[in-house]
This record gives sequence, C-alpha cells and structure tokens, in this order.
Amino acid sequence: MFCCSTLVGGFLLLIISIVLLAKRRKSLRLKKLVDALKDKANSWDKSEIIEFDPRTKMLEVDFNEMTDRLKKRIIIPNLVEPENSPYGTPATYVNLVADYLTNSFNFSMVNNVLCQFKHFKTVIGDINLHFIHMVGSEEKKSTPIMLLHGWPSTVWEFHKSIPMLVEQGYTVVIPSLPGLGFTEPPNVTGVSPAVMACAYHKLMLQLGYKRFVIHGGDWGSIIGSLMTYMYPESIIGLHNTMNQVKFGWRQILQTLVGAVFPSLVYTTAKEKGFMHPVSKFGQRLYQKFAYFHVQSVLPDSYGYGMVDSPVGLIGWIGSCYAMASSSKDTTKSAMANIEDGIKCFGLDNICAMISIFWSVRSAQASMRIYHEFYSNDTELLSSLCIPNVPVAISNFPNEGIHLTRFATGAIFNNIKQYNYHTHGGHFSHIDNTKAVVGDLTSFIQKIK
Amino acid sequence: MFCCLTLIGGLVLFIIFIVFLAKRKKSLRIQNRVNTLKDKANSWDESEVIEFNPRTKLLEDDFNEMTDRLKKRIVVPNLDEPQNSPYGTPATYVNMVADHMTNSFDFSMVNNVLCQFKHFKTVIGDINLHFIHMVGSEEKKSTPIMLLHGWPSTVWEFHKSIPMLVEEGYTIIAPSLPGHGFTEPPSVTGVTPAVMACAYHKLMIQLGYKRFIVHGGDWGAIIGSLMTYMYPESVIGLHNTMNHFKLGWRQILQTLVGAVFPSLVYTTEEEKRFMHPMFKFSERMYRKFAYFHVQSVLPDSYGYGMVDSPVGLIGWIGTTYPLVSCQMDLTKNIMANLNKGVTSFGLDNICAMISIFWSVRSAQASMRIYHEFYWNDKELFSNLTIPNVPVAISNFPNEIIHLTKFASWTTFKNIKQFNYHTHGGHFSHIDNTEAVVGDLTSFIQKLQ
Repeated sequence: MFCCSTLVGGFLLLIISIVLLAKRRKSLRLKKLVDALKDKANSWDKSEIIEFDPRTKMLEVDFNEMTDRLKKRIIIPNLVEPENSPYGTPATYVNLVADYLTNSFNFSMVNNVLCQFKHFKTVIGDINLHFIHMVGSEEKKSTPIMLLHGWPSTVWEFHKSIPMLVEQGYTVVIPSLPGLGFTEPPNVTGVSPAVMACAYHKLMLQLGYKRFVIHGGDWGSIIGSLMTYMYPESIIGLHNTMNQVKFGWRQILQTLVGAVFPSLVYTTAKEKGFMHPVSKFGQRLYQKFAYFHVQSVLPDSYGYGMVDSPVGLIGWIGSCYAMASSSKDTTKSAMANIEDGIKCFGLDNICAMISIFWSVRSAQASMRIYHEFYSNDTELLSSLCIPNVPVAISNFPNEGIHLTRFATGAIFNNIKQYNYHTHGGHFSHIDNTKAVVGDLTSFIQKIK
Repeated sequence: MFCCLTLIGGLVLFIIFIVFLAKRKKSLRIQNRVNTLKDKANSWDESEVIEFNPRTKLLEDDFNEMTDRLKKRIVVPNLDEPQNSPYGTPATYVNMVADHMTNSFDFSMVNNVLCQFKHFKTVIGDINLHFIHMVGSEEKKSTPIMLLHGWPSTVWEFHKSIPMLVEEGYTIIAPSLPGHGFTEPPSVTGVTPAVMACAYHKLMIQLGYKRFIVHGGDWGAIIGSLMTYMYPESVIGLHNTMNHFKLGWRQILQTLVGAVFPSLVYTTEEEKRFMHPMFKFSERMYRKFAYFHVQSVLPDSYGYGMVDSPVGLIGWIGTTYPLVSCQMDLTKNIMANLNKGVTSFGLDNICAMISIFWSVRSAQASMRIYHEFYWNDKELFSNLTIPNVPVAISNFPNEIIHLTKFASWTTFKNIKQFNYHTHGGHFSHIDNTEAVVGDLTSFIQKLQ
C-alpha cells in the first residue's frame, strides 16, 4: 500500500514538473515572439499620411463590369430543392442577390455614404493602410476609439455607428483590415494578425493618441486582444463583440456542472447550446470550422473564382453576411435561415459589401489572414491573458461564439461590463447599432 | 497492495466490458446500414441502357465560351513573388493554363479520343449513370474489369489504359462517378459512395457480369472496397492504386518500431515520410485534409466560382492534377513543383479534364461526394475489412497515401500482390500507364 502510494506520488510529481517546465518554456517562447514583433514594429519608418478618396477605387465602370458578368452568369443548382441544400449556399440565394445587384441596387449610394467620412492612407511596415479618421470634441479627446472590423467585412460595417459616435463627440479611427476594403493585400507574406495589431497601434501613436479605447468584432476582436496584450499601457479599455474560447479548467468545470444544472451555469439558451450536447460538440466544431481550416491552408486555391466571377464572390463571401446574421434554426430550410439573415443585415448592405470586394479585387487575398494566423499566431492567441486592462463584452444572440462570464474570465480577468441583447448577430453594427454603440459608450463612461 | 490490485483489476475489466459493448453496438449498426443499402438497391427498377455520344455534351460552343471568359479573366496575384506563394495555387500556374487553353489546346482532340470507345447511359436509382463498355474476347470474358475513377477525375483518366486492356482482350466497364464527366450530379441528396457502390454493382449485374474485377483509385478505390465488402460474392479481385489509411494496432506498432528501426519497417522513403516525424504528423494531416474538410461541409459555397468562371475552375480543380503528380520538394517553390507535375500529367490532359468539367458544368456538384461520405459512410468505411477477396495494391511514389503491406492488412486480409514502382503518382493511368495496367493484368493472371 505504501509502495503503491509512493509510486503514484512520484509519478504525479514527475508529471507536474514536466507540465511546469513546458509552461515555463512556452512562456519564454511567447515573450521572445512578442519582443521580436515589437522590435520589428519599432523599426518601421514613419510615413506620410495622405488624404484618400474612396471614389478613386469604387468606380462605376467596375460595378458595370460586375453586373455584365452577372447577366451572363452560369449557375447550376442541380437539386430538386435548391432552397434546402445541405451543401452550403443555396443557388436561390445567389440568384436573389445577383438579380438585386443587376436590377435594383444603387451603387452610387456606397460612395455617397462613405464620403461622409474623412479617409486617409499611410504606409506602416508592409501595409499600405487605409483608415477613416473623425476628430471629435475636446471633451472626448482623452478617449479616442479604434473600431476594428473582421472578415469578410469592410469599414462599411460601421457606416451607421460612426455618425452616432461622432455626434456624441468621440474621436474615431477606423482602419481597413489588410486585404479588405481600401487596404490592399500586402505583397509579402508574414503579415499576420499580430503584425496588424502592431501596425494599428503604431497608427494611433502616429496620430498622436497615446492611450485609446479599442472596439472590435471577428478578427477585430482578436487583433484588439493581441494589441491589448502587447501594449497594455496604451489601452484604456477593450470592447469585444466576439468572445474568445479558451479551453481551461473554467470551461471544463462549467461544462460538467452545466450538464446537470444548466440554469446554474448558463444565462442564455445560446450559451448552453454552444457547449451542449457535449456528445455533438465535435460535430458542431467540425461544421463551424470547415471554412477556417481551408482558408488557413489553401485560401488562394479556392479564391480565384471570387475575383474573376461575381457569382463566386456572392456564393461564399456574399453569403456570410446573411448566414452570420441569422438565428441558424435547424428546423428551417437553408434558404429560410438565409432570408432571416437578409432581413437582419439588409440586401443593400450585402450588395454594398460585395461591391467593395469586387471593385478592389481582394476577395481571394482577404482569406490569407487565416493562413497567416495559423502559421504564426495560434500559440500567442491561445495563451494570452488580459489581466488588468478593463474589458467589456457584448453578447448578441446570433453571434457565433457564446461564453458565460465565468468562462470568459479565463482570458479577461478584469471584466467591467458583460451585456446581453435580445437581437443582433455577428454584425451588430448593422443589425443592432443602438445596442452595440450604447454598450461602447457606457463602457467608456465606466472606465474614464 | 491487494486492495489496490483488485481496484485496478476491476477498473480494467469494466473498461474492457464497455469497449466490448460499444464494438458490438457498432457492428450491429454497420450491419443494419449495409442491409438497408442492399435492400434499397434491390428496389431499384431495371432501366433501359441507351447509347450515348459524348459530342452531345462536349460542344465547341461551350469551349469557346470558356476561352472567351479566359481572355477577359481577372487574376490578381498581389504578391511580389507569385510563383512562390504559400497560399495555394500560384497565379503563375493559372495564367499558364489559361494561355495554353486559349492559344494552343485542341479541344476536338477530346471528342476524337473519347469517341474511340462505346458510351452508354442508364438510370440506376437516383443516378443517371454514364459508362464506357468495351466487350472483349471470349477467352477473357470470365474476368470483366470495372475501372473506377475518383475526384476530380473523369473517364479521360483511362483513355490510354482502355486501348491497352482492350487489345489484350479484356472486357472493360468504366462508369463516370456521379457528378463527374457524363454522369450528372444527382438531383437529390443521399447519394453517398456506398450508394454509388451499390449502383455500380447493379450495373454489372444488369450487363450480365455476375463476377468481375474491380480496379480503382481515389474515390474509385474507396467505392471498390465498399462494393467488395458488401458484395464479396461478386468480386473476383480488388485492385487499388490508393491505399486506405486506418489507425489500428498495426499502424501504431509499426510507427513506434519504425521510429527506432525504420529500415526494419518501411520499404520506401515515401512510406517512412508518411508517418515520420511523428510530432509533425498532425500538422501534415491538417494541411493535407483542409480540402477534405471544407468539401465535406460547404462544397457548394466555394464552388460557384468554379462553374461560372474557368479561372475558378483552373484555380482549384485544374491544379489538383499536377499537384498530385509530383513529390513536393519543400526546398523549391510551389511553381517549380507544379511544373514537375505538369510534366508528369501533361498540359493537354489537364486541359482535357478542365474542358469536360467546364462543358458539363459539374465542378461545384462534384465536390458533394465528400459531404455525402462524411455524414453517411465514414463509420462503415473506417470499420470495413476485406477478409477473403484477393486484393492487389499498386504503390506509386507520388501517390498521397503510403502504407506498408503490414499496415495494409488492417483492411485487406488477403493481399495477393503489393508492387512498388519508381515513378508515377495519384493518376498512374496517366503518368505510368504501363505499370498500372501491367499490375492489373498480372493480378488477374494470378487469380485465374
């Protein structure tokens, strides 16, 4: 008995010391990585900031080229029930958007809306960065806000929110994610989300903002977290609309307890549905991350058709807006869910996004961020922790990730605000602007 | 001490019992599925076999439409070094194929070659099946051969092999995989590889061939194995050019021993490199199966651009031919590797395949087989064994899966032939026709 316990005890000690050693090595590795990133960022020369007019990129002739190609489109649904396809975007949707773009959509509206704002470009490292910059009132100058969009979005995502914030006197800086909108894809490899975070940080310093608030969704949330981790001294507060999953003891404990006492653990049905049934968790992840997997390995291979063909563009990128805004009700058909998403996001907004992607020809290159992330940043993101900087999370029901406040504590140790809303999805700036802007401004009030 | 041992012993027995129960349940589940499949196949009415002329589907008009679109193509590499892209198909390749297709490729050659053979169509279940049927000599009538291609191939794959086999007097049946070539994509869901196996089997019975040889690569190898498992009484012998990777005790044992004594375990470098270094195995799998993952979840979403745009078609499907016809030399850039593959496969063959996919408009739907397999057949496939039917495997160095004979016994218990060749890849019927046809005929000789 004693022999047994000594053996087991010794074995346990061995495992613990191996785990500790591995953790220490990882910690050092990450520190090196961050230092290398920051050194590189420090070496970037300061470049001139020049005014930019979106109309120079959003040309009527390119839009007409797109509608011409749409009129001659080849779409073969093959299926008896194309609206109920289990294979991805239904042909019914592609035809719906194609018809709307060709017959009803007013392209000039996009330029008119975008030209309300002040646009600029500057070179930071390997990125020829576009950004919107609206200078606010003196009173609100101490809390400038960076709004960060993700994939496959553009600054169009914020076209309703910017006026709201500007009206309240806030200074806002909104860059276009490299490869999306008016920031061309970099022509070298290695521009990963962590590098983008350094570039965004450098931009703010260059504009004279030593401390600022970050707000982001999708890749914007991830880049915001990376930036906060690397430059905590610069960040007044971080507001994310997309949460980040970390598999730690919190997640495991919560899932085990939640299997028996769900009401004790989960605040919403969505939070519970994210983890349960646990037996189907792997299957749900397999479905959710198919796009991530291929875009992290072969983004260009699948992307040629999205630059040469507006049908290819609508078929994938153009369907993300509707799919990410829908409630994904598995009792309904694929097209019914998409129609639900169209109601939330708006067909004009879908067409605006598609028009921008088409005009700047960057649909294919936009997907490379997944490849760069997977090749360079996975360890950094999965290990980072934000211990002190105040954080706010906004929870919208049709978002893709749902975590409890408890589980969120694994990454963010200082959660100052954790709001739930009754409607809105992955693009809350489009489908519940008031709520997300309200959350942002109330968060800023709390942390001033 | 005794207490400890009893506890451990009891726990082990308990685990064995649970595993045994689970295996039993799985076995019943698989038996059930096979019975359901065969019952369904038995319910299919026999349909007329009608002659088919490929020229009715491969039209000069459609080819010209493709070259017109190629002349107006929009391809934006963005990268300083497009030939060295890590993101998938380099733009250099797409432009090279586009230029050849537009300026040099002789489309009429495709029809001329295909029309050497006798083509037919018949309806089996939900499949409007195309097949080539060449009746051989009396002497060889007892061993008719079914040639099964995979994705993204067509019967073009066998255009050099069929004449060789016909000359030796063999009877050949070569169906087009549903969704490829002249077998249209099914208009309903649920046509999985196992269902296709039943349909192929029914075709042979309908044509009067009660017992036959099955030869396949890629999905053809998988469908061949499924057919042999479900109808062992019908299959004289099974010849696969692509092996099946299964994680069983043999694979594990072999990998552990092979880590220390590789020469004891592996016959070729390719076999060793498939498993080692082990700590990079999951990384290799992640890269290799990205395409499988997305095509098993969202085949249609990424596929619209492959039907509407020949650039989209070349960018992915058109790239797979050279990609799997060479060995990836990681010291060279991707274009250099693809050039090797182009030399092996042949630019005209690449263009022939692309022309067929373009003309029949099935590139998008062709990828659905992955979806149907993943959600319906994977349990069946990963558990099947072929205990008695004689099997032959041909090992070509540039194939994508490499297993030792020892590991192959996991699936195939009666391996009569296991040949290695010094050149050739995933499409050995194109790049080492003599060897693969030689293996097939020598295998048949052994079985007679």
